[in-house]
Amino acid sequence: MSDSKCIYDPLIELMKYYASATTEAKDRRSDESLSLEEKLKRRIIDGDKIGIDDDLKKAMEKYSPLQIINEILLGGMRVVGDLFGSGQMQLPFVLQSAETMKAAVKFLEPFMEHVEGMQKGLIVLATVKGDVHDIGKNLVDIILTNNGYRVINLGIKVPLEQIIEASEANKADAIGMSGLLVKSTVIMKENLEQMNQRGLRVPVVLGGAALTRRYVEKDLRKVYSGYLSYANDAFDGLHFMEDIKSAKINTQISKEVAMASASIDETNEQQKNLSPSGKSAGQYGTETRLRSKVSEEVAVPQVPFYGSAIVSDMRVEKVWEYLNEVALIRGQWQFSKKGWDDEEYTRMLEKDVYPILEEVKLRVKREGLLAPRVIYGYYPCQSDGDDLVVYSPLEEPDLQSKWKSLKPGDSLDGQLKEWVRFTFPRQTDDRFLCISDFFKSKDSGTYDVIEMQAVTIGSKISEYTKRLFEDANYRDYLFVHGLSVESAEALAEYWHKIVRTELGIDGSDAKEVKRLFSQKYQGARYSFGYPACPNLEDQVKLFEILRPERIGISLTEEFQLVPEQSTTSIVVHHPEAKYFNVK
Amino acid sequence: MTGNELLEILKKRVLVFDGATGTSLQTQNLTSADFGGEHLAGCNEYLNIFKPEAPERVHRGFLEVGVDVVETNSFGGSSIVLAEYGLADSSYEINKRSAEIARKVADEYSSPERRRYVAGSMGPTTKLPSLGHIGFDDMRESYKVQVKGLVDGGADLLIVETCQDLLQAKAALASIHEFIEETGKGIAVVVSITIETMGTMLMGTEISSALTTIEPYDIVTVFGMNCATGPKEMEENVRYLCENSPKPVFVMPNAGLPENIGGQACYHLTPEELELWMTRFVKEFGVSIIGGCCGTTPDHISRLVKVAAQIKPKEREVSYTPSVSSIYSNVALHLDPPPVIVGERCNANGSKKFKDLLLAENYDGMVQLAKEQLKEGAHILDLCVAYVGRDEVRDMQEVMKRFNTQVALPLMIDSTEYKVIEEALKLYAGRAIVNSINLEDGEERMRRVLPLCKKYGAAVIALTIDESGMAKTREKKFEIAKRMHDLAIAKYGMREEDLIFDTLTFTLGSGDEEFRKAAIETIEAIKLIKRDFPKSYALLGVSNISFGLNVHARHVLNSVFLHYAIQDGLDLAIVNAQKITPLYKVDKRGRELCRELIFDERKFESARAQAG
Repeated sequence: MSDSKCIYDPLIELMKYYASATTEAKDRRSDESLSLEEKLKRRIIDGDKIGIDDDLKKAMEKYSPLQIINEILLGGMRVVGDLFGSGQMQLPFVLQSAETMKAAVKFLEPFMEHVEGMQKGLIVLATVKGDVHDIGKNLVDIILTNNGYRVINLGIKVPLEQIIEASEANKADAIGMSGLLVKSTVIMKENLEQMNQRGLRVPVVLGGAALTRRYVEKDLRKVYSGYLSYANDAFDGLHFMEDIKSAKINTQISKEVAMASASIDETNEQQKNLSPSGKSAGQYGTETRLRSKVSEEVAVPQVPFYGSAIVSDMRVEKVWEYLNEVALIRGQWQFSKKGWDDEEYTRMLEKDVYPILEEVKLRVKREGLLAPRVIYGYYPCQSDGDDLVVYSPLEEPDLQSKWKSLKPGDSLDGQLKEWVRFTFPRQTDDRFLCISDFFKSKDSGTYDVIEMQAVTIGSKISEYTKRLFEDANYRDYLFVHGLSVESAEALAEYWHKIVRTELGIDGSDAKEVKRLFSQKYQGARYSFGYPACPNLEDQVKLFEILRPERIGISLTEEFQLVPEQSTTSIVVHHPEAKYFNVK
Repeated sequence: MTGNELLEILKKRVLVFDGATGTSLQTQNLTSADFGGEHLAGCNEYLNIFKPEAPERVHRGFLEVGVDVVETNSFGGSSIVLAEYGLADSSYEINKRSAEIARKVADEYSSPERRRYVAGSMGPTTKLPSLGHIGFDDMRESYKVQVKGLVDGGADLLIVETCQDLLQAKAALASIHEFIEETGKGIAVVVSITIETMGTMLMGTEISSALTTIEPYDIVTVFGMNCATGPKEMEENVRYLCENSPKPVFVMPNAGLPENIGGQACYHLTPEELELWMTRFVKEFGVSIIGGCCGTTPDHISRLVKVAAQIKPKEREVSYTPSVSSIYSNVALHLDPPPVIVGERCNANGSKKFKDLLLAENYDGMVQLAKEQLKEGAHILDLCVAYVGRDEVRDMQEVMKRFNTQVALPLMIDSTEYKVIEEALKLYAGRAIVNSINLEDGEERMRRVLPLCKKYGAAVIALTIDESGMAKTREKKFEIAKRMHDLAIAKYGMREEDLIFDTLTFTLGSGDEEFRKAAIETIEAIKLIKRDFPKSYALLGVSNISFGLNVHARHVLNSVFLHYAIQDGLDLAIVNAQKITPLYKVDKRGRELCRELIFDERKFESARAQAG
C-alpha cells in the first residue's frame, strides 16, 4: 500500500469538514429560571447543599434569617416529608435533605439576633425499657433537630425514671417514646399510667413498628390525661411538635383531640354505611320509576371468571397499538391543522411530527418510564330503578381475586348478596337515559354482568415529566406529558378490547384501531366524572370492589387518582350503550 | 447438608420450615426470672443457656405437627445484638447451644426414612451497615462467630433471614464464604429478605435489586422472603421471584399484618387462609420451601405440612436477566435498544471536574456530579478515585460510603489496586462491576481480582491485553478473550454471564497507517466474542476512537462509531452520555465521512492497492 498514492482520505475530509464548525455552547443552568425562593426550597428537597451559601446570602437581602428558615426552607422539608410519607423518597435521601437543612441553618445562625428564638421547642426522646431498637427514634431526632427543635436523646432501654428526670431537668415541652417490640407497647402503657398517677401532663408522642394509631388513640389515650399522639413516621413527630407549640396546649388540646377522635368514629360509621345493603333506591325519583326505552331483551354474555385479576408485565408496544395519535398530536401537542391544507399538513406530520413521536417513544421505552398495569373484574349485577346493585357470593374468602366460590356457568340464584350499590343520574329530558337501564333489572329475575377496570402506567413518567418541567425543559415536557396522558388512555382502550373479546362481543369491532376511538364497537366504557356518571365519589365504591391499591393506584380526598396517569372505568356490554349527557 | 443435597431434596418435594419462634416463646408467658434476671429480660437467645426447655418446647410443638426443618433460637445471637445485654462474649456458646437443642429434638423425631433438619438462624442484627451504623468487617466477624457456633452445634443448613439491608446480607455471606474456605465444609445456605409494607426493603431496595445482588453467590442455594407482612401482601413479589429467580424460592409470611390490640400483637390470618395462600404459591407459582414467620402457630404449620404432602410445585419457567444493581434498583447488562451507557465522569483520571472535587475532598460535589450523569442518561457509573500522591483506599472508602446510598445508579469500581477494589466492594450494598482484569502480567491480576468478584458477587470487565500489550487484530483480541474466558470459568468459578469483554480501540485520528483498521478490528472482535461466548457481554470506551481530533469531529465520530459497534453486538458503552448524538441528527455528509473513516474506505491510485 505504501507504494501507492492515496487520492482520497476520509480522515482529511472529516477534519476539513469540521474544522470551522464550532461546538454549541450550551451550559445554561436549567434552574436559572426558578425564583430564588423556589431554588432554595428545591435545594432542600434535592439535598443539594453545594453553593447554598450564595443563595442564602441573596435571600438575606429580602428576608430575615428566621423568615428564610420558617417560610422557605421548612416548606422544602414539608415536601420531603410528603414524599417520604407517600413512599416516593427513600430514607437516605431524606437524611441528605436534613443535612442540607442543617448546613443552611448553620450558615444563618450567626446572623440571627436571638438564637433562642430559633429554638422552637424541646423534646426528650427514648427507646423504652427492654428494647434496643433505635433506628426510628434516631431518625426523629435528626428531623426534629434540623427543623429547629432541641432534642435530648436518652438512647435505648431507658427506664421511666430517667425519662421523667430528663424531662423535668430540661423543662421539656414533650416526651417521645419509641420501641420496635410488641412488649414495648405494654411498657409504654405502663409508663403512661405511672406518669398519670404522678400528675404529669406533658405532651407525649409514641412511635415504633408494633404501635398502631388505633391502639394509641383508642386504648392509650384513656390512661393518660395529657396530650398524647401517635407518630407513624419521623415527619409525624415533626407535625406533633408543630401542633403542641402552635396551639395553646393542655386542656384545650385535649378537647380538640376528643373532638377529632369523635369525628374519626363518625367517618368510620359513614364508611360502613357505604358498603353493602341499607341505602334505598336513591334520590333520583323512586316514586315515578322513570325508565328509558332501552331494550330489556339483550342476552347476557358469558364471563371468563367472576372476581378480579391483576395483569402486569404488558409490552409497551402492545399498548401503543391503541394510541390515539390524532388526540396526541392535535390535542396534547397542539399541532393544529387550522390554516393548513391536507397535503401540507400530512407532509409536516411526516417530516416533523412523526420523528418526534418516534424519538419520544424510544426515550420513554429506554428509560423504562411506562409500567402498564391493570386490575379488572367481572361482577354479577342488576339494576334497581336508577341504582345498579353489584353482588358478591355469600361466602368468598378473597373477594379481590378470581372468586373460588362462584364460577362462570354456576347458577346464581340464592348464591349472591348485595355488595355495593351505585346510583346513577337520569336524563330529565331527551331519552331519559340512565346507565342502570343497560342492565337486567331486579324484577326480571335474571342477573347481568358488569366489568370494572383500573389501569395505570405508573408514577415514574409523572415524576419524569415533573422534572422536565422543573428543569424548564418545557418542550420535552409537553411531548412526554402528552404521550403519558394518551398512553394511559390507550391502555384503557386496549383493555376494553380484551374485555370485549373475553365476553365474546367483539364481533362488531371496527377493524381499524383508530375507529375504535369513536366507539365503533358493542357497548361502552364509562369513567366517573364524565357526563353520564358525573359523581366522582363513586370512585370510593369502585375502589371497594377492585382495590386498585394493589397495583399502586390510590385515591386522594378529592377522589383523584394517584398516579396521575391512571383511569378507572366501568364497561357496559349492552349494544345501545353509548356516551350521553346528563344535564 | 450441602447445597446440592438440598437441591436434590427440593427436586422431589416441598420442604416445610417451622413457624414463629419469638411469638411462640411469648405464649409461654416467661417472667424476668425465666430469662435470668431483669437485665436479661427479652433476650430470647439467653434462654438457650438459662432455660433450654423453653426453646425445646417450641421446636417440639412444630416437629409434632410434622415439619421438615426447625430453626434454631438464635435470631439475635450475633455478638452485635448480644452486646446490648452484655453478652457479646458468649455468642459462640449461645449459638452452639441453640443448635444442640434443636438437633436433639430433631433427631428424636427423625427416622431412617425421614430426616428432620436444623436450620441455623442468623437475624439482621440491630445495625444497618449501609447507614454507617457498623463496619463491614466488624459485622462479618460477628456473624462468623455465629456461623461457627451454629455449625459446631449441629446445624444442617444456615438461614440468613429477615434481611433489611443488602450490605448486611453480604456481610453474613462473606462470613459463611470464609468459614467454608477455612474449614472445607460445605453447607446449604438460604437467604431470605424482608419486604416491608411499602413494597421495598427497609433501605428502599426493590425485590429485583435484591435478586440481582444475591443471585451470583453460588454458596446461596435458596432465595426468598419472610416477615413484615402476610402472604397477601407478598403475592406480587413471590410471583416475581418464581418467574425470575434461578434459585429455588423460599416463602415464610407472617400470619397476616400484625394488629396491636391491648398491647398484644395479634395476627389474624387463620390456618385455613394460610393454607389457601401457600397452596396457591406452590401450585401456581412454584415455591419450593414454605414456612411461617411471626404469629404462625403449630396449627398454621400443620396445614403447610398437608400442603407439602399433597401438592407438587409448579414447574417454573425462569427467565433470569443478568443485571447489576445499586441498593435501590437494577439495570440489565443488555438493554433493548442498546447500549447500556456507562457514565465516565466520576473518574479522577478522566474528568478534571471530578479530580478537582476529589482534591478538595468535596464529597457532596462528587455525589452531585454522579446525579448529573443520571439526568444525562447514564445507566451505570464508572468510579475511579486513583490520584497520584493520595491514599486511594481512604478516598474510595469516603466516596463509596456516600455513593452507596446517595446514588441510585449501579457502580463500576475502577481501580488497579486490589485493596481498593475490596474495600469498595465491602461498602457497596448492590451488585457492582469490577473494572478490570487483563493478562498484562500473565494470570496474576485474575488470580487476585476474581476471588473478590466471587466473594462479593460482582461482575467483571476483561480487557484484551496480554503480556505483549494491547491486542490490535481481531484474531489476537479474540485469542486473549478466550484465554481469560476459559481461565475465569474453569479455574475461578465465574460464569460466562459474569464476564464483560472490552475489545479496546485505538484512535483513528492520528492517521497512523498501523491503526487505520482499528475500528474494523475492534468491531470484528466483538462479533467473534459474541459468537463463541453468547452469554458474555461486550463493552467499549467509545471516545478513544476519535482521540486527537477537534471537539466537534470527535462528537460526531464517536456517535457514528457507537452506532456501528451496536449493530455488531456491543452491549455497553463507556461514554459521556451528553456527548452522543442520535444518528439521524448528524448531517448526512458528516455521517458518510465518519462511515468511510471507520471502514477505511480510502481511495488509491493503483489498482493493486484498491484491491487490498
